[in-house]
Parts: sequence; C-alpha cells; structure tokens
Amino acid sequence: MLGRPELVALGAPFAVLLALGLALARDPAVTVQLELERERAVEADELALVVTLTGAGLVELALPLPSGVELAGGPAPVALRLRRGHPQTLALRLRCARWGGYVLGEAVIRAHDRFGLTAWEGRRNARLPLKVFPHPELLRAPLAPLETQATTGNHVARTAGDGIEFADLRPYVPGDRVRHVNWRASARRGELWVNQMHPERNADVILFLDTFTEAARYGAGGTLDYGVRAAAALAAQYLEHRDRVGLVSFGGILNWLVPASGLVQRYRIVDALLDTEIVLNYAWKDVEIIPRGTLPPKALVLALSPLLDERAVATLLDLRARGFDLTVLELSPVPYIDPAPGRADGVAYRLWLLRREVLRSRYRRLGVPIVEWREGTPAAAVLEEVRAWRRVHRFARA
Amino acid sequence: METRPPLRARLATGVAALVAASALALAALAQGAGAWTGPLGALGAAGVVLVAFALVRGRAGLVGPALILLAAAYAVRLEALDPGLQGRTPLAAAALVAAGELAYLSISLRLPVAQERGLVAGRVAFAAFEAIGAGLVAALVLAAAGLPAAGGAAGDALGVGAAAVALGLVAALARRRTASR
Repeated sequence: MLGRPELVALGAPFAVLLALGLALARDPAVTVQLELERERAVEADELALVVTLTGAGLVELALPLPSGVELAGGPAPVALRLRRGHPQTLALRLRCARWGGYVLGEAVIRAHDRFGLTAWEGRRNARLPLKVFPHPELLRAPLAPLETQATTGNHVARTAGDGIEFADLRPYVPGDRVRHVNWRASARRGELWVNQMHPERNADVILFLDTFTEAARYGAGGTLDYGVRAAAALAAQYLEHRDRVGLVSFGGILNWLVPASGLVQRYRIVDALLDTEIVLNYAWKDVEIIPRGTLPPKALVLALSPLLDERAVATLLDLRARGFDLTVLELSPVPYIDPAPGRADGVAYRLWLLRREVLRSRYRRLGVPIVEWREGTPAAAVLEEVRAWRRVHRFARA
Repeated sequence: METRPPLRARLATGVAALVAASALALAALAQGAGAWTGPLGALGAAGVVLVAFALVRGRAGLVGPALILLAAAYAVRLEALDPGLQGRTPLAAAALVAAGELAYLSISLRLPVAQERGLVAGRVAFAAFEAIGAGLVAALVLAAAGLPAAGGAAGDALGVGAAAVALGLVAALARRRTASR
C-alpha cells in the first residue's frame, strides 16, 4: 500500500522464521530413566543417581529432591542437547542429610525445538524408594534396668539364683549343690554355708518417644531429629544385649511395637522411627490408649521427650505412678528458643525456664531420673549422668 | 559438563543484543534525519532502553515490544525521509533478528541451570545463522521488488494476497502444532 518493499523486507524474515520454526518442530519424545545406587543409606552417606535421557532437542531437566536429601555433586538442573539414538547420561551425587523414608525419582523436563518457538513440558516419576537410617551413635554400656525378666540375658538380676556374680551366703539346706558350698566360710563357722549368686537375666525396654511437638530451627533440625537418633542407638544397644525392646511413638498419631528381641526387631524399630513425624492433634491422650502388651510389667521405660506437651508430661507421671522403671531423657528445646528482645519477653523466657526446672524437680521427687540432653552431647555422657543419679538416689526409687 | 550458570556468556550475549539494538536505532538517525531527529531518536532510544530493561530484569516479554519500537523507528525513517536506507535494510533485518535472539538467549541464561559444554556456543552460532538468514531473506525480498513487474491494482492485489497467504500459512502451522500437543 505504501509502495515500500523495505518494510516487507524488514518483516519477512520474522514470518519466515515463524513458519520454519512451526513447520520443523517435532515432538522431542524425551524419556528419562533414573537409577539409584541403593535403597538404604545412613545419614551423611552419599549415593550415586544416574539419569539417562533419550530424545531429541534442547532439553532442560530439573530433579526436585525432598527435604532431607541434597545434591552433593553433578549438574542439576541442567540444559543439554539430545540427539536421536544418542542417549545422554548424567551422574549425580546425592547426600542423605536427614534420616527418613523418601521417594525420589521425580524429574521435570522442558524441551524446546531448534528455533525455540515451541516448548514441551512434562513430569516423570520413577518412584525410587530410599530409606535413610539415623547415624549410629556408639554407647559404651546400656542403662541397667531395676528389675529384670525371667529369661536369660546380660543384666545381673537383683534376685538370687544360678549365675556368676556373687550375691550372699546362707546356711546349707538339703538339696543345695555341693559345688555351691563356700568351704572357707563353712570352716570358720563350723557348719556348711553356700554361696548365693545373682542370675543373668534380660530386660524389657520400652523406648517412649514423644511426638506431640518439637522445638526446631528451620533447616537445622530439632529435638525430634536427635530424639530419633538416640532412640535408634538405644534400641541397637539393648538388642545387642539380648534384651527385648519395644517402641511407643506417642503423639498426634500413636505407633507402637511390642517388645521383642533380635535383628529383625532392630529393623522393625528403625523402620518405625523413620516414619516418625510430628502430627498436630488437640485430642487429649493418656496412658490408657497405649495397648497393654506394649508396656509389660517390670519394663524399663526410657522416655525421649522435649517435655513441651502437657499430655506427654502427664502420661510419663502416670507411668511412674503405675510402678514402671522410668527414666526421662529430656530432649532440651532451650537451644532452639531464643528470648525475644524486650524486658517483658526476657522475664517470660526466664519464667519458662524456671517452670521447666520445677517440672524436673517434680519428676525427681517421684524417683524418676531426668537428664537434660542437648544436641551434640554424646549419648554415653547422658546415660552416665542417669547412672550417677541412680547411684545417689537409689533408695528414693524403691 | 559445566556446573555453574554461564555468567560470562549471559553478559556477552546481553551486550551483543544491546549493540545490535543500538546499531539499529542509530541507523534510523543516520545521514541527517532533520526535523525527525527528535521523534526517531525517542523511538530508537525507547527500544534500546526497553531491551536493556528486559535484560537487567530478566523480562523476556519486553523484548518483543522493544523490537517493534526499533522496527517502527526504522520504518518511520524509511517512510518519512529519503529512502536512502534501502540498501541497508537487509542489515537492519539481520540486526533486528540478532537483537531479539541474543536478548532471549541472555535472559534464558539467567536461570541457575548448568549448561552442557558447547551448548551456549551452539545457540549463539544458531542465532548468528538466523540473523544471516534474515538478511538474506530481506535481500531476496528487495531483489524481488526490483524485478520489472506489472504495477497498479493488480500488483497491489498480488501483494495483499501473498501477505494473506503467508499469514494463513503461519496460522495453519500454529494450529497444527497446538493440536498435536
């Protein structure tokens, strides 16, 4: 209309590019295969994840990872050019930052045609299960229970019977075995005296994990994190000593494992711990909702709790009132809670600390050893503190 | 494979896009635009500033309007003043395509995405190939316009028809592409 071919010359290349781009665009038919090195790992382990891509075109690939698993090495997200018949392989390293059960394998793909005019987007999910176990913590010796069970184990029982540890002397009665006669004592007293021994028995140990609430810092873990690690370490230690170990995860959702022994029970407990999470629940819960078989008589109950929820606090007091040998390992929330600036907030913070101290005193008055456990403190040191308290207060516990 | 976003490539492509856009804006002012210097300069400067803003803020949607402003400055110059720029139109078309492609490439490189070795260089080379192709297409159009052909209403009708066919072709291709997804 204007008689200006220059304007056509200016616009024609764009029309040609558009037409060519649309005409030559083909479905890139991208396929993604993911292969994880193994399905089980321990915290801080690194795993290889191999991604194989086929198709054609310029492809951008992103691999969303669940919180707790991090990319330790390798390119992701990545842009690369695929050619038909030439699969591309990417080798990634994943670091297991936190214990838990995960499903990996989600891949987000965006492919472009040669001219960048058309884009294809899609998601693939290979669903690769990964179980990350808590990092094992070494314990020198487990906490001995006050009372043992009837079957043979590694703990020296308080009762007398057949065993190795010397317990006492008593006069001979018909039926006593000659090998038990203490000849030196008999010669001194002019009549037969026999040795009494402490038998070696096993114990029932219940790990009571409070999952009502936790104190945590964003991205830096919290009381539940090291509570689960501690529970796993304690379970492993007691099971190695041939004790029967059970688990009660007491919180918004109640989970339990009846006490049993052996390697299978160890895996059961660790698997149950991996599913542990804080579930908000306002319903009042007490010891009555725990199945009876889960808390056998004379069991040693090791409670791992931040003592932040009234229901957990009341349940532990109830357990002590029912005669259970209770030890509270207090997963201290104090390092995770900073006092707000301001005089009134500082006073409130100090009052809160005092209330916690009062709560500890209440447990101790009932003969319950309670030890504050802060993240980073070795479990052995915490258990030694419990032992020391028990030595001093053994009469108060009876 | 490179594991870091290619910062140097992003900057280089961004600067190249700005240079191409600036060259086009200056071309509209070349050889004395007279009274039109102000409006043409404003149009060209707006285009360059829009490209720069799109590059700095990563707004790919602003590249298209920026190209339209630059093309408008050039078209106004052609229409309003002496068509002495006719010989440079293929270069202007190439610069326009290069500015657009490089700006889009630079913006796409802002994402924290590791790039396969040689991928960015390949994309830059393809952008250069597209710019050269655009110049050739523009030259072809100008050459075709110079052929002795019947003018008048028949010629106009033929031109309008060709434009309509081109639009229809693009629309049909776009429709097919949308339907095949």
